[in-house]
Parts: sequence; C-alpha cells; structure tokens
Amino acid sequence: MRRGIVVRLAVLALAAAPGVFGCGIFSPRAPRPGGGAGVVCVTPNAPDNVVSNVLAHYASLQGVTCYASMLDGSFTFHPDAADSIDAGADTVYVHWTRDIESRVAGNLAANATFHLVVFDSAYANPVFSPGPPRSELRFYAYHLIIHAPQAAPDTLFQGRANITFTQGSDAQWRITSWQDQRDTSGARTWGYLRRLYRVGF
Amino acid sequence: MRWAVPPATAALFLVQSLTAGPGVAQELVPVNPDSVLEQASLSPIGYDTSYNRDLSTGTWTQVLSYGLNRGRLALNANGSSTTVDFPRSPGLGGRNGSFGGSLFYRATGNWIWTLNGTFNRVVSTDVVSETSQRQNRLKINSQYTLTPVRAVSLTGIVSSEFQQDHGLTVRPLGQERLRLLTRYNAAGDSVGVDSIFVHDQRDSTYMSGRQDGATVLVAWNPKSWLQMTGDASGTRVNPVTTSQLRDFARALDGSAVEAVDRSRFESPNTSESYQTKVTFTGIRRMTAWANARGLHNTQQYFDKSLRNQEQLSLDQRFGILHTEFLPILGLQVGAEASTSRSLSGYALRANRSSLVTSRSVTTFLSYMPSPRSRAGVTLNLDNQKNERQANGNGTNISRLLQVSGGHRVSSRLSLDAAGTVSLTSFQYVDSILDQDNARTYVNVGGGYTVSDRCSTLVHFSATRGHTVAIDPSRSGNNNVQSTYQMDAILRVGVSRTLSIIQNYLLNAIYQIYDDTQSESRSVLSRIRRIDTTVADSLFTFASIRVNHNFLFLDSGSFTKPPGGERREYNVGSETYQQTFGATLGIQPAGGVGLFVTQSLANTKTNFPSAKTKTVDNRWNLTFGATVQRSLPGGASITGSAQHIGSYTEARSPLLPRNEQDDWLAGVTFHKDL
Repeated sequence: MRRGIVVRLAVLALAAAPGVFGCGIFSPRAPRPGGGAGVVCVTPNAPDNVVSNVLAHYASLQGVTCYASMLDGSFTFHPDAADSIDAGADTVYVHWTRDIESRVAGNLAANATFHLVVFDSAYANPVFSPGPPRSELRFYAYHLIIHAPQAAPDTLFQGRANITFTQGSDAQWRITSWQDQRDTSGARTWGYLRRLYRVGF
Repeated sequence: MRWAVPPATAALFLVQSLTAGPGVAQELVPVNPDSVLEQASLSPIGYDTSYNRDLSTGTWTQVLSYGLNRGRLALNANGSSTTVDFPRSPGLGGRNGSFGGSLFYRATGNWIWTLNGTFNRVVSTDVVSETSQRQNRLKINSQYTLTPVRAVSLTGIVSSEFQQDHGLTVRPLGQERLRLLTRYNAAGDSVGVDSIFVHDQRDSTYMSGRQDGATVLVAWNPKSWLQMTGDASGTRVNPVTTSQLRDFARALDGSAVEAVDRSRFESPNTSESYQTKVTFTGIRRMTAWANARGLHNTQQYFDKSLRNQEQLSLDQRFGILHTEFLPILGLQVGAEASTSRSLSGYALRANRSSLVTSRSVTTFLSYMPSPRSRAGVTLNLDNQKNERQANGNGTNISRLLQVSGGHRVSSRLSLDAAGTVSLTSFQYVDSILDQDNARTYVNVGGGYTVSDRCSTLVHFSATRGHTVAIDPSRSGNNNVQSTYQMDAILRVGVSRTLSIIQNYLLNAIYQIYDDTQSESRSVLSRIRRIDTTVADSLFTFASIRVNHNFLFLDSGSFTKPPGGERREYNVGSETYQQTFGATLGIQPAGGVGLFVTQSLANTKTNFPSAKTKTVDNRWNLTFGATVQRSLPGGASITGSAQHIGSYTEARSPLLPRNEQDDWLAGVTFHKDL
C-alpha cells in the first residue's frame, strides 16, 4: 500500500515535470530586436573596480544591471539619523536590502534625464580586515547632480558615504553595507534621493 | 482551539499596533498583563551600562529598571539613555533617551486595568544642524474576558491614550533658495512682492491629542475538528498640531530677514482592523485553515523635509488558504494559496502612492521514510502587480522550483543533492526596464565520517544565470553567467588537543554575452582557494591557532578570435592572495582572557599583457582582552577591548601606507540594587 502510493506519486511527479518545463514557465522572454553593444561592466576583482562601476553606472539606464551586480546579497543601506527622524511616521527606510536598492536605482535611472556621481575625496583612512572574508571600509565624501522630475527642485545631493566592500567566496568584491551621512553643507543626501524612489515595495 | 499568541496578548498587540504608524507594528513587543502579575519580583532595581566602540561609531548606553509585584498589582518602570558619536566625523552624533512605565491591576479574575506611559526623545546633530523629536504617550487600558455560552470565549478591551509630539529642526539649506513674500497693507490687501534668499530654516511643531480604541476578540470551538477565531478593533484620534516655520534669509539689499509662518490644524486619524481564522481537522491526516485580515488606516503627520502636513491612507486586505495531507507515514503533501491588496495614498508626496496586488501559490511534497533518507519538492508561483505609482508600474512574476534529497548510505557515508530552477520577470508599463532573470542550480555531493574528529565533505555545483533585458537600449548587456564549483572540507583531529581544518574551493565563472557585438566583453574568471587552520590547546590556560589562506585568481577575456569558432582564454590578470596569521590566547584567571594576533596579508598581481606586477604586503597586529566575571554585590561585567594596528608596506614613498590605529571596545556592567 505504502510503496504503491510512493511509486504512483513518483510517476506522477515524473510525468508532470516535462509539462512544467515544457510550458516554458522558466524560460525568459526574447529581447526586442535592435540595440547596441551595451556598457562595460568591469569584473569586480578589487574594490576599486566596484567603485568604478558605481560611479559609471549609478542612475544610468544602461548600467542598472551592472550597478545591481555590485551589491552583495547581504547588502544593507543605513540612512543618516536625521534623515530617518525627518521621515517620521513614514517607514520608507525600513529593511533596505539589495532588492530594494536595485529597484530604487532602476526607478531613478528611468526618471533621470541627467546624472553625475562623484566621490570627491576620502575623508578618513580606509579600514582593512584580513578576514576571511577580506573586507575594506572606505569613507567617501560625495556629490551627485541629478536632474529628475521626481527629485525636483533638488538637483544637488551631497554628503558622506561609508561603504564596506567584502570579498565573496568567488573572490569578487561587492558592497555589503552603505552608511549615509550628512555633511556640513546642508544639502540633501543620497539617502534622501533614494527615499524618493522607493514606491510600492 | 490554539492561538499563536494568547488572546489577551493578541488584543494588546493589536491596540498598540494601531496606535503606531504603519510598519512600526512588527517591532512592537506585546505585553501580557496575566503573565506579569504572575511573575515573581527577584530584584527590584537593575542597572546596566555599556560602551561599544567600533571602527566608525561609539555608543554609550545606560538602562535603569525597576519592578514590583504585590498581589493584584504589578509595577514596572525603566529608563534608558543612548549616546552615539562618530569618531571619524567630528561633530556628528545622536542621543536618544526614553522612560517607560507600566502599572497592572487585576480588579477581578477576568478584569484587568493597565496604565502604560512612554516618554522618549531622539536627537541627531551635526556641525551645523540639529533634528530632534520628543514623543510622550500615556495610555489606560481595561480588559474583560467572559464565556457567555459553552465553547465561546469573548474578550473586550477599551483604551484611551494621551499623545504629545514635539519636533524641532534646525538646518542650513546649503544653497540659497528664492522665496517670494507677499506684502500686505493695514487693510490686509496685497501691495507687492518681496524676493528673499533663504539660507537657514528652523521648524518647531507641537502635536497633542487623545486616541480612543476598542477591541473585541471571539474564539469559538463548535466541534473538536472545527475552530474559529476572530477579532476586530478600531482607534480614533483627532490631534491638533501647531507649527512655527522660520526662514532666515537675505533680502535683495543684503539685510537679514526672518520670515515666520505659524499654523494650527487638526488631523483626524482613524484605524480599523479585523482578522478571522477557521481551522478544519475533520478529515483524517489532513489539516486545513483559512485566514483573512484587513486594515484600514488614515493618519496625518508633519513631514519635516517638506514642511507640511502629510496625510496617508492605507487599505490592506489579505487572505490565505492552507492545506496539508499525510497519506502515509513520512510523506506530506500540501498547498497554500494567498492573495493580498494594499492601497496607500499620500496627499503631499503623491508620488509615493501605490496599489500593490499579489497572488501566490505554493505546493510542496516531502518524503522522509526514515531518519536516513529525505526528499522534497517545492513549487512556488508569485505574481505581484504595482499600479497607480509615479513610476515602476507593472507586474513582477516569480517562479521557483526546488528539489532536494539526501541518503545516509552507511554510518560513515552520506550523499545529498539539491537543485533549483527559477525565473523572475519584471514586466513594467514603461517597458524600458523590463527584464527577465533565469537561474538554474545543481549541487551534488556527500560526506565521509571516519570518526568524530575526522571527516570530510565534498560537493560539486553548477549554476547558470541568464540576465535578459528586453528593451533594445539595455539588451546589449544580456549575458549568461555559468559557474562550476567544487567545495571540500577536511577535518582532522590529530590528537586530543591538535586539530586541522582545511577548506578547498575550485571555481570557474564564464560570462558570455548574448549579442555578437558584445563578444569582446565575454570573460572568464578562475579561482583556487585553500584555507587552513591549525589549532592546539597547549595547556589548560593557553591555546594557539595558526591560519593560512591561499587564493589564486585569474581572469581575462574569453572570446572567439577573428574567424575562429572556439573561444580562447586570454589571461588579463593573475592574483595571488595569501594571509598568514597566528593567534595566542591565554586565560590568566577565570573569566579573563588575553589574546594577541599577528598576520601578514600578501597580494601579488601580474598583468601578463603589460608585463607589469604589483605586490602589497599588509601587516597587522591585534591584541586585547575579554572579561566575563561576576562581581561582589550582585554585579557583573562582560566585555572585550582590543587594539588593531596595521599598515601597508609602501611600494614607493608617494603611495599611502594606509595606517590603522584603532581601539575597539565593548563593555557592559550590570548591577542589581
């Protein structure tokens, strides 16, 4: 009795498997014809390569996939404390993961008509952890110029970014943590810009 | 009938959830007055203080708590204070403090009164600005439980809460902003417009109100195989907010100008929620349940960034149907279907409004005929639709099939395998961001255990990911990434005190672009990795650990030569990365440990095409102490402190040595008074 049920279920599963795959429910769509050669996404063999990809591709429509691939699965974003207080009852900054960051970057890229990301300087020495896994914490002063209807009238976003890069088991480096801070300029931060594009997720 | 949490707890949790803003509810800890009244008070007053300093933040926390139980009465109070500073960003920091108290009184066996108060303040400062918020809450709660008829339990709760919020923001704008000020004459008629350039703002707001709430919970068990529960609750508050928004500006003639806008407004907030669950166990070996939830909430709050009153309305509905069946011992099949709808509307930040509807189906089968064997299959289908948004409208489809199995062939040998197939499809109304991600993963392997001290695990895996952007403007980056990997672990206990652990990893990642125009960007990366740890307990009070980490990585183009059919690998860079470290640990006294670690991290990179080579050596010396001790008088101390010093050998005098000289510490002192 018991063996019979198991055999029947196994046969049923085997019979259903080709149907599941045959329907193509796991097949991606074909891209629409046309298009060019795409953008260069440097293999992240070092933290500098990750930074290079972030600067080149953040808020760029063609570079969204590359920017998202620079984020580790454990990525978390932490806004400036004052930005968090300002958000008040709006819990927009809660549980900011790689998926959230990728979708926010996509929404911003689709909305921006002009973008420029600059890491102006390192305001403190980096911190290296020998690991394993090896990691590196860098302290950047940044500014962004973004022209986007949803961010208007603000166009300048400025502050400090404490970014942790970690080397994964595949030896490639990715961003695991991003701490945003205001600087003394009074300008809106990158965290404020991000907040504007988290909608519906 | 079974509750996930006791009814009283659930009721209080609901009331508190509705009091808080959306999304905050998950973080609240429910309070159960029944359990509080039954707890014995061991030590009425406790004090904890701790200081934690990591690489970028220093945090000092103090907590003082008091508890008292006397028959029908229970009293709890606690206060805490936290100060945060950022050593690498002088002037930047934050403080928060809170004081809370609870008074429980059991008037009769079924009737409980509760008084809760919380008073907290959060402050964030930098060199030029300060943001602070003070929040006061005082809530009285009355709960009555009765059983009107057999198999029915009824609980009612009414509550009233007094609320006060103070907010203060002082901020420079960074860049001057033009503001037009309308001038009025004595009769109130406009007589002109002045242009001023605002450089600083100071906003002060004060909100006060009283929130009333009621909750009813019903539990009904008509049959032993049928259980029904339900609850409904609602709250209402009509707070009054007054605000003073000051702009500090420069007039056209350069003189200083201060413009003040005062306002007073009422903002009625309401919230209603319901939940019902039916559980059916009438068929042998089968369990089925259905659950429906709903929440409607409108609330207003002052948006400090926009200096205006925001109104948010939420309408959420959620339903789930679950069934599982055990046809034979060890075999379980089941299915779960859920649907949800969430509509959020913002009056001020209209571009944050959205309607999200989702449907999800999960089916699963698991078979575990004995502790030696297991197998399982899960299929998950999700569909989420975003609408009425400023951007990102569209459908997100997710499909995932997981298969896993394992069998212990003998007491030493075990085999296991797992595989997944998934597709995530983003289908936007604005199709420029449309993208499909397909992924397959297979892993097979096993373990061999010689003894408790000696064992090995080996696994082989293959992963294939295909990223497909649909729009031609982005499809040039479409590629297939294939990864082949071997992982192995070897554990050898050479003697009672000496052990060796080695991890091996071989990995190859091929990234091949779909478009022939992108052929030149296809790449291959290969890795060999061996991590070795040797540990020995020399004496009962000392141990030594030696680590060696070796990584070889090469990467380069993997492209077809002109006219060629087969791709060829051209190494662009080779990296050898090694870390050698040794740690000595000593325990000079009970609960006290001292340690010192020295390591050298060496990174050597060759670029064959350019015939150049770089070498980096980084030295690290870390020493510190840990303590975990009880002190006289009911006190205890737990903590660790360490100093990290490191530097990179400079390849040339012009390059930075990236010296590090940091103290890290975390100490907690506890005292029962």
